[in-house]
Amino acid sequence: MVGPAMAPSWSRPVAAEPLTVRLVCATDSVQPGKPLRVGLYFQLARDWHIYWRNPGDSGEPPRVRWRLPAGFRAGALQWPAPERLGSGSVIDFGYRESVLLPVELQPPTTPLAPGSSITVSAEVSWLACKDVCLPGKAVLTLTLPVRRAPAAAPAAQALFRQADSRLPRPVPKAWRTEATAAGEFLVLTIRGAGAAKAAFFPFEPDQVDHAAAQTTTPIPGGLRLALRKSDQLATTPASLDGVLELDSGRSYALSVPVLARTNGAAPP
Amino acid sequence: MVVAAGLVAPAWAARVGEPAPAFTAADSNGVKHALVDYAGKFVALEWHNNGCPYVRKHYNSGNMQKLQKALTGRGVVWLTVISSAPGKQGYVTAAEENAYLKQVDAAPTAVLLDPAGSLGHLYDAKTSPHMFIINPSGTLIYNGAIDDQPTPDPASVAGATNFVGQALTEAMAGKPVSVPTSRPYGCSVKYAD
Repeated sequence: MVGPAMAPSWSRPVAAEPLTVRLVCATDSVQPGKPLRVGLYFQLARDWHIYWRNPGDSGEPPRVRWRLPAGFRAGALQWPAPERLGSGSVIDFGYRESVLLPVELQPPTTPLAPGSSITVSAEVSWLACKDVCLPGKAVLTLTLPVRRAPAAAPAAQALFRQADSRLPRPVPKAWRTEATAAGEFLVLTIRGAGAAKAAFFPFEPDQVDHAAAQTTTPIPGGLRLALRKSDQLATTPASLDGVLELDSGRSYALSVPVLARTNGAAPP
Repeated sequence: MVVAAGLVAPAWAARVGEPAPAFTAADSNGVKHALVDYAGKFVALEWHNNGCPYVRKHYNSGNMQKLQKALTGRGVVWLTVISSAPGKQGYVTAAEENAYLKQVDAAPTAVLLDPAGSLGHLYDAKTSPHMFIINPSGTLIYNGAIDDQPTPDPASVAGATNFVGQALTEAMAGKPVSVPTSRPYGCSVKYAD
């Protein structure tokens, strides 16, 4: 569990049993007027996990509070597609082994002067669980020189490329998506995806029963996914938002308006 | 609807507004408790795992014990439930649990030992803590988190809105429960595999 030593793109790792966490930058330096891509890089001990933005039935996702130089603004954490964790009646969503959560930092309107340097700090808190849970927190600090052009940072670049490949993609124009509320279920219909099986990971924790099996039914040109409603769901949501993972391993970010079906019949 | 040991009730058995699932379970003194015994009283169920950081937040601060004392003092029957399977975090023998209760000065009416997980599955308890409140007519009036601070950080206890205390105060005054459900937070209940 060792990263490149003393490379400018990597903060000192904080080892907080059972994981190590670092603040990583995609480049070795910051360029005047350009956004800066950084990320929280977690490496976990075997069998431990941390949680996705919707942790599922238990747990909580990592949180970050940024301390940035004047004028910088941090975007939201980006979340690679999660794994389904747990078994039985308590199901969670998260990451094992390692994960990078990228973030884009917007620069100040007055460009920085080359030759100076900036310091970026992140106060991170998380919950790591195996069969037991250990909450943790760390302050990660990274100092970067300001340069007109970046030098190569191959290890960091590789890490961000891998994270990007796991980020959910936008829905292709060729797809036709539809969501309906039918009795105890929210039914998601996808046409044009060319997949036989799919799994849906909702962004909101209280919409879908995470532990219930998601039944996939093939239909002409596509598939239908039956998602049992959560017991916590008070009213039909206006839209179903989340990640659809296909059997190919690719994942997509969905936002599908939910139409009520009047006959209330359960899906086939 | 009574569920025998070993059967798993459908997950929608514990819906707010519906009759709370009936059960019988033994406590840490070997005494059997049936929900029907408490008809006419408010009953609070607290899913517990003494190793979970979220539970420890409430016990180390004295927050849970204070709530137990306040509510049992107002006639509420407080049943702590432990559904951890043997060998998993939170599992305790009756003797260990009784020693723990003394050590932390907890004040439940009783602690129900549910290592087979049948009571947990009956209510679909997901986390520790996970709280349920049943009214004197046997209707479930609350299902969810203990409060609005889903974090193990001890600093979050002060200033938290306690949904359990709030629901009971409202229901005892004959008012509707303003927050009847909330997302339960904590460690997953350690059921048998």
